[in-house]
Amino acid sequence: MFRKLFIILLVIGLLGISMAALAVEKKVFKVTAEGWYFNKYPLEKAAELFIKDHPEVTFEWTKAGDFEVAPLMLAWSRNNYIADIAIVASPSEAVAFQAKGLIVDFEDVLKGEYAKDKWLPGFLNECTINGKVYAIPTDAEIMTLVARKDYAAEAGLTDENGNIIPPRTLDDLYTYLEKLTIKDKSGTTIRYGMDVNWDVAYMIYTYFSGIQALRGTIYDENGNLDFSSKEALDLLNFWQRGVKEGLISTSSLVDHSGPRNNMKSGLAASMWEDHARVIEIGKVVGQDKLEIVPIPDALTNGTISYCMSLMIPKTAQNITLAKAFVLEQFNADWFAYYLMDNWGKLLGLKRHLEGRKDLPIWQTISKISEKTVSLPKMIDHARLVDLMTTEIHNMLKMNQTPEETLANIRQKSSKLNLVK
Amino acid sequence: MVNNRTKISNITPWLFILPSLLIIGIFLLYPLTNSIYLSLTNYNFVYSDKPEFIGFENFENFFSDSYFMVALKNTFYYTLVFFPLLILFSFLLALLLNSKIKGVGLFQSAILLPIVVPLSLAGVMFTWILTENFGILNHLLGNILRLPQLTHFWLGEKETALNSLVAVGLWKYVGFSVILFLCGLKSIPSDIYEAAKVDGANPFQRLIYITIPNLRGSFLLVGIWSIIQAIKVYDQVVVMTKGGPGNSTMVLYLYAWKNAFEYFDMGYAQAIALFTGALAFIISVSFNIILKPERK
Repeated sequence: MFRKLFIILLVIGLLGISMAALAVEKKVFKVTAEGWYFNKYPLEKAAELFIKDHPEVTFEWTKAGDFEVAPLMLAWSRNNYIADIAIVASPSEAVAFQAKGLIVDFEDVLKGEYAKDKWLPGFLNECTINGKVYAIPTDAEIMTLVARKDYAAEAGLTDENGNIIPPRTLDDLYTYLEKLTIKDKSGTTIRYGMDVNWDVAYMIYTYFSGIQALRGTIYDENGNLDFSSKEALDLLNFWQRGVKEGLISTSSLVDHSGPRNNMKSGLAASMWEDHARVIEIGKVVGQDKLEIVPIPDALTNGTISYCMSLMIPKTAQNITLAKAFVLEQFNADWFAYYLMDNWGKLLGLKRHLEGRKDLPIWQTISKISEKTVSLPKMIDHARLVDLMTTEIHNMLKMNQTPEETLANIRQKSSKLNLVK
Repeated sequence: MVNNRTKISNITPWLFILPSLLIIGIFLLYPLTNSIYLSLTNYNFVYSDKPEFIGFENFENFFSDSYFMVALKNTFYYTLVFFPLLILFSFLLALLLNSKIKGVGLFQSAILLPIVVPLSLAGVMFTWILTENFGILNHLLGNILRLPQLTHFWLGEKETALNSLVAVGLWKYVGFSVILFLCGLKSIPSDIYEAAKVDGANPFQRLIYITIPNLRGSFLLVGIWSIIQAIKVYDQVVVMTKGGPGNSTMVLYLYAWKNAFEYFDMGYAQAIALFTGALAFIISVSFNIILKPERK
């Protein structure tokens, strides 16, 4: 009798548990992002807040390698569901995904407070393909100079308020570097005037930020990317001369973090990279010692902006939820300010930049951003980046002249598909 | 009845090797055949609808592709430096470990330890060791040994970058080739040495006339293995230099990878990969023919 009762109770219990489990069955929401996003972006907190409004959702995170595009492309091409949101590529790679018809557009949700005119145009343009927005900017950056105010003050390069006087020309900037560089008795540099990021991940942005600032356009008179103007030659001569004279460090040739590490350790007095580093370096050396300095003429002509992008694949199983998460949490004010205050990273909405305009760093960034442009979308973007990196590295390290460098880039890029 | 038994006994061996054949067919022959086919096509897997057959055009393009030629030259250089140095170092270390010196066990562990370190991790470690401003090597040379003229931007200078990669490869692979040489040394009968001693042969003569000829098989094995390792060098280049500065450390497999997964040009990438594989095969076979003991 007892045995029968026990079995009945056991069956009822198991049924009850199963029913309860079914009742609270949750939607698994998959997010794939490059590993570093999990360190810098408050993704977990965003998920918690999102779950409050959408209790049926549970998050599953996957870390991807940097620019891990090919595996995703293969998986999505085979209709595999591996993510609802993927944050693994720059908009130039989004072009490839869009060409294959693998990602969804955001046109239906870019309304009201998220309407297209509410975004910083450079970044949203980057994510726009054939008139439709296929990606949402993440990690939006503006190429600029970041400099140590204390070193500049020692070198007599500051005004009465202690702010660095912006150099007006490349010659001015060269004089700054001479004053900021310190060498020992043997002539070995012990503090570089500048560290320029020439890593493959930055090269195209670094080069064209100089061209845009100096010329006000990145195109030559024929409408092609500029590798022929006087300013292009001046820029390469400036870099090569700076390296030869020991004023500019080449740490980035083997380590993309070299420039920021040299700034943190005091081995470089300034750097040519993206604006966000000012916050990261400030955490080590003190924010009061750093300043964003426009590349010569950048206040008039602007510079280059670039961003990473967030995409939603067509194979996603929670597309509506994914779009909601992107707008409600990923672009929420608290999320954006956390990124700006802690890592200097912008997202893309104008109101976030406006909201921090009381701080000098963001004031300067806001001014520079007004004329800032993004690079065109090119089918052979990756080939052009590698070509420029190889040739400019050859110039910096192998005695190739700037004239030869530009000629090689022109000749080799003529075979590439650089459709705007 | 007998006929049936013969038939079954004829089929049985095939049944035993069937699983292996299937595995080889699925995971080796099919990809290889597909790879050969793709190498004869123009196929960008993002922008092309399907592969377009172009014959040997991808292979012909090698000669007009200056970056390919640089990658080929660098791969040859890496192989030509790595292969003899690996043989020399591992042979000398094996001789040392085979001797009866005190503390040889500890030394043996130290040499064999790099085998268990993943090459990618070793790459990261050496990147830090070789860093210009904060690296241990430059600190040792400049500050401790007081030889600042020997300090370099090891991975950032054209003259030292590829040689630094060779050094990391040697550190990583020397342990394994030492094992191969040690096996050869242990298999040489001691009575040959004893007879030679009786005949008055000095240690150098014993090395030249007994040890080296008896290690021909080990030399062959280490030689072929090191050539293959050198031609397919990839990991440490990706981790340490990504082919730079400029293209001074660009090697064939990295160039193939770039074409495949950065430029999505699968046809050309397959052609480079096949060429590299064929190169390793031809050099290994040649080495085998040269060093293989003659049949008497």
